[in-house]
Amino acid sequence: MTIINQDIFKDINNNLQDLTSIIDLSKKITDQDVVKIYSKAKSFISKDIIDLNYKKDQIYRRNTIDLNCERHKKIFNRFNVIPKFCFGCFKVVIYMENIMDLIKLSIIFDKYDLLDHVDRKCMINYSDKTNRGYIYCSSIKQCQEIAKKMDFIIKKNIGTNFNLETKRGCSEYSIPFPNYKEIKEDESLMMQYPKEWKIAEDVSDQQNFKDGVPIKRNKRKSTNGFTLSDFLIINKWIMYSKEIDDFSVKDII
Amino acid sequence: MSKQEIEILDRIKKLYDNRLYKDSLALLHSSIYTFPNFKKIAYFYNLKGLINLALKDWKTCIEDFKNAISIDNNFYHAHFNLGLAYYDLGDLEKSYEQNLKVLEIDKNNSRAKIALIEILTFQ
Repeated sequence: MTIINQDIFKDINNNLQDLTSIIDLSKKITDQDVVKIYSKAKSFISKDIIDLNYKKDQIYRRNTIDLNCERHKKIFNRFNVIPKFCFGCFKVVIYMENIMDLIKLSIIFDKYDLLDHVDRKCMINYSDKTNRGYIYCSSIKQCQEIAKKMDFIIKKNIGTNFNLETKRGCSEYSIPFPNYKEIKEDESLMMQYPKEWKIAEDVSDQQNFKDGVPIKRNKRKSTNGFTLSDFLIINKWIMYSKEIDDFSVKDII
Repeated sequence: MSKQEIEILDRIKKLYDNRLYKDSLALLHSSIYTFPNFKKIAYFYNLKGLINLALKDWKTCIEDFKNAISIDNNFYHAHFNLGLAYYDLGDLEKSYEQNLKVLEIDKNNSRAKIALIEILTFQ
C-alpha cells in the first residue's frame, strides 16, 4: 500500500513538472497556453484528489530563508507592536486585472531565475476581490530593483493591465500604524522602530520558545515547475471566478 | 485510565490549546510523578510531543512522537506529528515517509494526503 500511495502523489507531480515548458519567455503567455497546461494537468489527476479539501489558496515559491513570520504575527496580534525584524521587510505588490493574468503571473514567478533568491506568492485577496502577486525583499534597494524588472517582464509576457507598488511589511500592521508601510527616499523620514517594543518581543519569545530565544525552521527551496499543489490552487481560483463573474478563465471552465 | 488521569490530561490539553505551552509542559512533567502510568500511554507522549513541537524543541518532540509510536504503532496522530517535526527541520524525505505511514493506517486521511502534496512543492 505504501508504494501505491507514494506512486500516486509522486507520479502525478512528476507528470506535471514539465507542463510549463511550453512557455516561451521571449513572447507573451497566451490564454491558450494556460488552457493547455491546465487541461493537460487535469488529465493526470483523479477526481478524489481534485475533491480533497485542499486548504491552501496561495501559490508560493520560496527560498531557503525562514522569515519567521509566525513569530512576528504572534507578537503583533498579542501586543499590537510591530517586531523589529519587520522594519526591514519590504515587498513588491502586483495587482493583476483578472484570474487568467494571475495564473500567468504565477508562471512568471516560477520561471524567472532572477526571483530565485526571494520569496514570492500569488493569491486572491477575497475581501476586496483583487488578484495579487507579492515579492518579499530584504532592502528598499532590492525592492525597487525587482519592481523595475517586474514592470518590464509583465509588460513583455502578460500585458499592461496591472498595477505595481512597493511597500514595507505586512498590510495588517499598517491598520493601527498607517505610516509603517510607507517607503521614502530619505529613510530617516520613515517610521522607526520604537525601542520600548522590544519588551513585548522578549516576553513573547520567553513564552513561545523553549529557551526564550527565537528559533527558525530549516526551510527548503521550492521546486521548479508546475506542481500538484499549483493545480489544486488554480482550480480553486477558477471555481471562485464563477462567483465573481470573472470571465477571463471561461475557456478553462 | 482513571478519572483523575483523564482530568489531568484534559487540563494539560486545555493549556496547550490556549497556547500556554510552558505551563502545559510544566503540568505534564509534574503529572508523571503522580501518574507513572502515563508512560505507557501513546496519547500522553503525543501530547508531550505537540507541546515541544509548539516550543520548537524539535529534538525532544521527535523523541516524544517516537515513544508514542513505540507504544502503539497504529496511533497515526503520532506519525503525522512526527512528519510535522521533520518538515520543520527540512527533512522532507522523512516527513513524506511518516505521512505515507499515516495512509497505511488510515487510507482516507486527508491531512496526510494534503501534507504529501505540500511536501512535493519543495526540492
